Amino acid sequence: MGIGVAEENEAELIAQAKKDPEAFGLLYERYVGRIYRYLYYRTGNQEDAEDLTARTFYRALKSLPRYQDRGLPFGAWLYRIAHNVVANWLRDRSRRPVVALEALGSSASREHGPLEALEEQEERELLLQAVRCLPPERQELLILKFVEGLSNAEIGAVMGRSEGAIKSLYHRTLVALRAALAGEERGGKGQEDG
Amino acid sequence: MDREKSGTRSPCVRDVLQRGEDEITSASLRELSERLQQAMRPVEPSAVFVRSLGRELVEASRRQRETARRLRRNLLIGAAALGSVASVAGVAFLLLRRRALKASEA
Repeated sequence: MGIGVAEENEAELIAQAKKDPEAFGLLYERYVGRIYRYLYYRTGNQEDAEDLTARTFYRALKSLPRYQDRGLPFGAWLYRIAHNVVANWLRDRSRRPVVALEALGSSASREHGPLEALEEQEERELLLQAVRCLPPERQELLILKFVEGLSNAEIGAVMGRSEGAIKSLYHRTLVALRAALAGEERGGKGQEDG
Repeated sequence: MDREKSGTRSPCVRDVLQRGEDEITSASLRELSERLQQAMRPVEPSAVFVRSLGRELVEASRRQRETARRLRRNLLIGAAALGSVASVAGVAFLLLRRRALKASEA
């Protein structure tokens, strides 16, 4: 799963993709899931995630002839493109992402009763909303860590930082998230009281 | 007791309280990390979307290569044409110059 563990023939495949459209198709198949998941959690809905996934791969296709292997995994290059695409998209539209309902459906809702499932969904929605209020690089870190299951070193390769810097950023992110959630809980209780 | 109230706890008590706070903090961060793990589950793109985008990209890649090939060929033809025009112009210039020299000698 790790992007650092590139398949043996990846460099060959990239070189081939510069000449052969079918080879680009293979690269696309290898990475489409990861890029989609990343964009899904950044945008919060399927439609925009699909749109931005398409934009990311079109941009990658256009830039591929200029791509040079500088020791970074190909996946890191793609994540960078996706990061820029989503940053432009957020700036252009100036809108806050919404939490998609389909994201809230979970296996837990089938395992427990409807009330527990609803509570779990609400809790999850609150958590994801808090995540989406974090600065972009912190969101990126959490997505790469929890959705993609990357190690700190691999996240560092994607985000252009050292492993130590990622570890420290992760800790600060958790602290900030906990503070934000505590604030929301206090706000919610205050509203109920008032 | 009075010392604690006035905020002048002994270093030992301070250390124990600090350690307790650190443990609470790290436990709550661990719990938050577990909640994130639960909430941020992997999602998959729809198979229809993956197939259709894949086809479009391969097609676009083909068009891009075709355009690049055509551009290279046109550049080559253009350069060859320019070279030919320059050669003809050079020969014409030399002929005219020679004729002019002959005329001036006569």
